[in-house]
Amino acid sequence: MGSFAWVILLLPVAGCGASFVTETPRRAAHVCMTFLGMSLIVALIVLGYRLAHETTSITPDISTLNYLSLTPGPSETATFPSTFQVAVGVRVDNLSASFMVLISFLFLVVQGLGTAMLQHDAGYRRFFWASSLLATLMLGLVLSPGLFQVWLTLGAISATTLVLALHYWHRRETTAPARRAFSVLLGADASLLLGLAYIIDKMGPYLGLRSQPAGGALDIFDFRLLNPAWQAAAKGTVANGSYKSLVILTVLLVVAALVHAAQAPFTGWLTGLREAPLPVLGAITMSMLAGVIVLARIYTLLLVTPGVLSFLAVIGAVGAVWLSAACFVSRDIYRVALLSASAQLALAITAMGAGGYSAGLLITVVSAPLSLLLLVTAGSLARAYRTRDIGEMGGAWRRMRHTSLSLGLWALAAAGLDLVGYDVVSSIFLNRFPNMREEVGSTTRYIVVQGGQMAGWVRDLVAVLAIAAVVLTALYAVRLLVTICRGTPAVRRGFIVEKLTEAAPPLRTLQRWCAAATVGAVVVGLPGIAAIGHGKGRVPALTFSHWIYYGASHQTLPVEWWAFAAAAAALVVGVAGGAAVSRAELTRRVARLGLRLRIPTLAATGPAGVRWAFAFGARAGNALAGEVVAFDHELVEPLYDSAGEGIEVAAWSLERVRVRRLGIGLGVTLAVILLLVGASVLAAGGHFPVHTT
Amino acid sequence: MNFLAQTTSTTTTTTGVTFPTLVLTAMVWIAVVFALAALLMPNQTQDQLRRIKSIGSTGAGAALFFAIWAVETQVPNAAGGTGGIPGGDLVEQHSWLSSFPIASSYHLDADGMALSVIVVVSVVFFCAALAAWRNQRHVKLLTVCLLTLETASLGILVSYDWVLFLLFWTLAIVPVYVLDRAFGHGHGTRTATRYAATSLVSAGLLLLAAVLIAFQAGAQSFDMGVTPVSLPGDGETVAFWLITAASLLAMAVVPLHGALLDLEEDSTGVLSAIFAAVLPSLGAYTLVHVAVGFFPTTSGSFSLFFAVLAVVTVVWGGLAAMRTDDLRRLIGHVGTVFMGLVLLGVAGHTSIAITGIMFLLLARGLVIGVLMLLASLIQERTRRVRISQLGGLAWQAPFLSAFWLLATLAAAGVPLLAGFAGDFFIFTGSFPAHRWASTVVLAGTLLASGALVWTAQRVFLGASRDTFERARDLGPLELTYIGILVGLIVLIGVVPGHFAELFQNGAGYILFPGVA
Repeated sequence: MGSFAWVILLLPVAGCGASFVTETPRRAAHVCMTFLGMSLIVALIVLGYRLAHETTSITPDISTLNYLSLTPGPSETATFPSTFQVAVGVRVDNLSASFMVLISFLFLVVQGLGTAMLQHDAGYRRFFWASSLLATLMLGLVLSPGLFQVWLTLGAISATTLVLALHYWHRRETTAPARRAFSVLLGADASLLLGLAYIIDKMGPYLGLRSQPAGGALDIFDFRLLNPAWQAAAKGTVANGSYKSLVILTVLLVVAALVHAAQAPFTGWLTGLREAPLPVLGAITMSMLAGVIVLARIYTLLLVTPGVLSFLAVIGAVGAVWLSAACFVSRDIYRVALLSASAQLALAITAMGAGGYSAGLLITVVSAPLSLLLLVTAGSLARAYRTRDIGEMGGAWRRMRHTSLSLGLWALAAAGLDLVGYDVVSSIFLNRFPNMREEVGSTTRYIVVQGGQMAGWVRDLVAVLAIAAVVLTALYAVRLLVTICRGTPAVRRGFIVEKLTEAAPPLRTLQRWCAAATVGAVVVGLPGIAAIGHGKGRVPALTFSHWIYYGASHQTLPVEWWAFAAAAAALVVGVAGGAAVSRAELTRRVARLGLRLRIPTLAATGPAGVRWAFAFGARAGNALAGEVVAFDHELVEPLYDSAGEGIEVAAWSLERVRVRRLGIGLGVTLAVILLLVGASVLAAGGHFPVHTT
Repeated sequence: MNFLAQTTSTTTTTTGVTFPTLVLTAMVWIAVVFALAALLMPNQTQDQLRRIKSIGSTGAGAALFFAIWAVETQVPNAAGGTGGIPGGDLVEQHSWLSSFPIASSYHLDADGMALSVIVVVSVVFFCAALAAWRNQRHVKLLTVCLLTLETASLGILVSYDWVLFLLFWTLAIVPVYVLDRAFGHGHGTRTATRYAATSLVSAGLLLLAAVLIAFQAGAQSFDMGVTPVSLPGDGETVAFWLITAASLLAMAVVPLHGALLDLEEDSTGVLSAIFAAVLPSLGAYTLVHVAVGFFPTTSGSFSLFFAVLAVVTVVWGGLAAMRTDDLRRLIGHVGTVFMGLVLLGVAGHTSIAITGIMFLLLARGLVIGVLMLLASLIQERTRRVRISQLGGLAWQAPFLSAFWLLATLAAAGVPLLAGFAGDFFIFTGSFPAHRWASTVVLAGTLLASGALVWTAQRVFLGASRDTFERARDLGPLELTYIGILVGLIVLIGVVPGHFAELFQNGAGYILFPGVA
């Protein structure tokens, strides 16, 4: 099955390559979509196979190829693994089997969005090959058997993001943000590279001594080697590895993940790109899943550094509140869509930080199609209303019934029916309640995931923040729905209300696909949450949390009525509040309040401290660069000038004293040198009697 | 023929007839043979000029052919441990100045380090020869000097005798000086003199080192094939620093970067590509292969110096790249940043880091070559090299812009392009020894990458400008030579493993000569 999964990886890139040789851009689009569709089908087959063999699906199927292989010198094995080898390949486990279906599907929808919205666009062909490439890289990331491939694909994802973001390369408002986004992502990749170097530094010899895992080439960054190495380092059995070094390593990797997931305070690179066309935004938004996937892959490392895990929960919760607040006060529907996608991932990260590994991934699976649904709907609305300002929209229910239904589905799901709120809250309170533990012999075993190791007050803080984020999410979702669907659109020059019509059929189809995917994702997760009772009463059937887990045993999310109550209350408060603030006057007031509180600015550029640090860094760098250039001009160049001038003066002096005799002398000297050289060559060949005795 | 008959040690017997190994000789001298042919050609009419240009391209192509031959014969052997280390299939050794008190021989060989730079040199010269087809000025001079410079550059890389090495080293100065005097714009004379002065100083330092080693090592020989070199007293340290100083001058690292940067800035088109892509690589080769290879223990003890110098060079180069307004000078600064990475690898002093240096030099030559050639094409089309005067060129030249962006990404070390393997090995190989230096250098490389992307934005993107309305995109010839370089950038990025063992053997030979 591992070898079979290569096909999933290679099909989109084959489409990407084939798109260059097609006659027309339209044909190129069809080729890319066909290949991506085939990839989706194969991914579904792989997923089906694993589902059908669920009892034996704990072990991943791995197929790897040696990519780079070195053998360090004899005296270097104290520093490096005895074989410094990295591999690329595919690791088919339950996580990757599920996510490759999700990613193929999402990118297929994104390309569908491209066919619907980018017709007659100069960058039509470029969008399709670039999005196919991005899909390949995302699949490569999901299927990564080790951290090296994670770094490889993340770096390439950054570059492809730049290519996509430069879709309108002739517009200044898109080129500068694209450059900034690439620079930020490059920084994240550098952090990951440092992480790899740090692993070698701290665990190199230990990793080299481990026995080679079965299946494919040895990779010193293979997760099968790294996971036990991290645990060994935490226990202090690795020579150089200590808890402190693990914390540093985790921070380096987590920073890379958070930046790629556009989490606060690194959200600016994403929101800056909002002038790009919607399909491009869709592709880039879906590439944000990379951050969560990285976190999932290094979860065993996070577990041995509970401090960082707790910090991750706090960062996620604060980010979720912050980004939801920014959504609440934003009037640009594209901006809301981007921030909303980021906020949903923040909730997923909160859940993972709180120990809810399965819950975090479930939130990711649910929120990805949900975010895409909002983007597709936002694109339909912006095209119909010819504005992105939600304050100027209205009356969609009467004139755009299908789109309104899609928006309604999104709003209700985001408001709480997708159970994201419940997942987060239950993850936070996981091991707080006695009914979530069971006694196995003399030891207590948590029947839920055990990552949550937050101190009491931290857990309470995170819970409060998460609930606040859920409430805010419900607020802005309902506010958006009511503002757009009821009333009448604002009167604007050049906009005729009567001409407001439903979105084009392709867009409606895409809305349906996204809606179906969202519902499907929620349904997949539902039985896991509603495992009927515990102990003997637990439903052993297939559930998401039963399917995707870390470690060697299944975990099942239990029903926690506290969490249900909190999530339901948040839903009610959010819906009521959202409906209340959706009046036009209130919308404007909220927006003004948000502006006064600088929330949109905060969401785009970070808090004052971060902004100040960036501004200071830029100014200091600029000033330093000026000094560097000045130093070059004022000191280095004159030094060289003086050296050059010295030689010139010497040459000039020589010319002054040049006489006919000197010229003849130089000529004779040259001739003698040539003769000597010739004689030497002849002597070397045995043709000249010059011998030493 | 007598010369050939003396070769007994390395033979290939695939056809039953014994042939001497002359690949390196052919690779080195073929260019100068074509240069002599070009020198004898008349250059009055257009047809005659075209003939000279074809001789130039053919000569560079022939050298490329032998270079590929040399590299590819070593790749299969690398797995067995014999490829990429001296004394293998490629060695050529004939007694030459044996009657003198200190003997010298015609000793050519190539290890992994040399082969990595040989690829760059031969490819860049071939592409430069193709690019020179559009030149109409001093055609014969350009052709002869280019081919001579190629011979000198390749000669430096394969010389295993001090006399030969110095001969080629000084030979390289002549065509560079002549070319810059003839083609330099602005301050051609000044920059040519400066560079010649710098190079002569480095040659003098190398000569001192050679004499010191030859007299003190006890072997009474100028042969460079026996490493590590052992000298009594402080001889090792002195010789090491002499070679290092000469190399650093040639590499143009901060604060010795002035002469080469000016040379690159003042040269035109093809020349700036060669100067920027090839000359510093020769310095880096000398530093790693000669200074570190001869004195591995001494170089290890000064690793902190190299780490500090790497930090200064990378940060300095990155900052200067951000502020500079000249396209070619910007690329020169980026090249300096690459040299800072080489210094970090030397500071790391591990076989992983040294292997990374080889990958990096390979990538650097290709990337800087592409960028310089593109910069010259931009100048040719717009008559401008000031970044602030350019903009929106992607409207008129989409291929040119796309290639620039790709080269920029490669320079930034984006995975699956040529630059990443070098970055990966240098950082992982140097981090255990110099954590803070590695971290700062990594941040410094981000500055350079940011400067390149920013330049791409300012030069190519944005609204179209009427001034450049008639600027045209790459033609078939330009697409060919840029395509060759870009194709290699992608190829090496996707399958770096092809060279890994070859380079690793070379690194092992440099750091652990006795063991390798």
